[in-house]
Amino acid sequence: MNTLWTPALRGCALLLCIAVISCGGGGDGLSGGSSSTGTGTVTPGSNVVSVTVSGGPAGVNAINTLFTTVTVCVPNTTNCQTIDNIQVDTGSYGLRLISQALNLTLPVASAASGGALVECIEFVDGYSWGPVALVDLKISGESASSVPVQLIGDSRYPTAPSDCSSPAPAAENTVASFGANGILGIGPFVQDCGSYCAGSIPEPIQYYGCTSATACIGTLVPLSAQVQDPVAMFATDNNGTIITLPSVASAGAANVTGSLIFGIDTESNNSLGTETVVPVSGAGYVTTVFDGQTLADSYVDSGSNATYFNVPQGFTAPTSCPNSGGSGTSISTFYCPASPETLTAAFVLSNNSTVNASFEVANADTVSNSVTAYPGLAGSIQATGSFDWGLPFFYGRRVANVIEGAATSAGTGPYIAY
Amino acid sequence: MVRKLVLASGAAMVGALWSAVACATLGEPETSLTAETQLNRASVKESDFGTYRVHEMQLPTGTLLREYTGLDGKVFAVTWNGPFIPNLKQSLGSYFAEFAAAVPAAHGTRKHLEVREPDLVVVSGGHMRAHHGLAYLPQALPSGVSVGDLQ
Repeated sequence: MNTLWTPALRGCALLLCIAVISCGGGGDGLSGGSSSTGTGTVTPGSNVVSVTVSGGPAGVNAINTLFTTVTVCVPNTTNCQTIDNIQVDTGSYGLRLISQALNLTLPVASAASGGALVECIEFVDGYSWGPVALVDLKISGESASSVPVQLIGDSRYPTAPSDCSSPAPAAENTVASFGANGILGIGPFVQDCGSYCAGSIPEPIQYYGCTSATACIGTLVPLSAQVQDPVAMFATDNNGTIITLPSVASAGAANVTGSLIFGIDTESNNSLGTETVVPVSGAGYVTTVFDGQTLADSYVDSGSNATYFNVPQGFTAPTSCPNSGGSGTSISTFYCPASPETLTAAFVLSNNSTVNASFEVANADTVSNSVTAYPGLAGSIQATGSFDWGLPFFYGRRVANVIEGAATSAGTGPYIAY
Repeated sequence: MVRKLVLASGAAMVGALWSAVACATLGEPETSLTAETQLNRASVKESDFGTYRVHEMQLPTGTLLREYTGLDGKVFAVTWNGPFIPNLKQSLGSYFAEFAAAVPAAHGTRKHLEVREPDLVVVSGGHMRAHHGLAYLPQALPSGVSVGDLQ
């Protein structure tokens, strides 16, 4: 029942495509989409893993969703599993695996309060519940030992506390509802909670100590035991990441392949040069200026499937989709202009100057079924102060994400550079 | 269906728990400062805009919660910004069940959720450790107040 809303819009687009076809229409100008490959500018190395914008696991039909492959092992053994369709997300922290996609039995970590450490992680549209386990992780030639990861939907802890659904009411504990076999969070911070969970128990509770499958109470969790960006645990190339993706034509493409490069200024293939450096605030945001608004709660997020922006009063927005925004329809407002439009916003840099960045807005309802990368997917968000540069921003760019506290040639993280 | 029933009863239970300390809840009287003190919340400030008042408080998690109260003394909007999403069962009160029921059809993503019902709008955005959002009752917005006024 939740499959429609993880790949946002896809369900909506499909419904409208079907409607058009049934009326004898069709002819959206796309015959199966085209395939793209990497930029060709990345020197292969042990610090590079392939990433693909694809439809994801069978039945998910993801759009603008970046996936990669990881290998996890029972610690200190050669008992390993390679798992594909792991979403690459610069807007979260740590590796999470959907138990449905896992055939290893991984040891569950212990909670400071006693029992097993089990987490309720909150996303805005739902929550994911499951124990923290330790894995030895390999991605391309990089590895880290005893990495705390979350096993979502683990049968050993089947019931989430009711508190878990307080911020977001729906469970995302299956591949279908999560839209991926797992997620690799490589954002600008390290841990998924940080110092707050080391010293206090938040309300609603994030980490629990469970002495049985259902007897769970809130627990403190030291930083080292929290689910965290495994890149920061690599022996080398551990100060950040670079995502490179090729440009995608307005009509979209079927499968777009690029690279996820580990490390900044640590190898010949990950040095920074003349990139624009966009500072990330202590709160985790960049500042974007759009149509005269200064939006201090903005973010550059490979885990967002569209460009979402706040529409200023008086701004002439692109044409909204025909089924959007009406009373009682409960649908986000995506855009459906007759032809693609290019708009411009800007990033605020550390010296308070601005650098423009353009983005495309195209028709969200005429996306071919075969298209998985669609740069013009855009929607409005009514939250004031926010501009979400989702995966479309990454097309045709080389975007570095430098981890908090990491020293590089372009300054100390956290920052974004492109 | 089962989930809706479970959520509804869960919301009722939490509502009963919190009613004892009278917290910011849509459609209900604004939070009493005494209750906030009991909850160990530092009330940051209260501002009067004529047709409405804004009561801004910092939750222990660091998240800033603002409640907007009309001349009738009832909360017509709640906004938040900070590292954790607040307890929306508490902030939405009796509207949480409607919110929960609308989410599956709302085409949300892990970073965006926008529920628009005739009597309830909930927008939740942001990414891990950095969340923001607002919930309001469109029919209860005081005259002259626009969504853009809800910070």
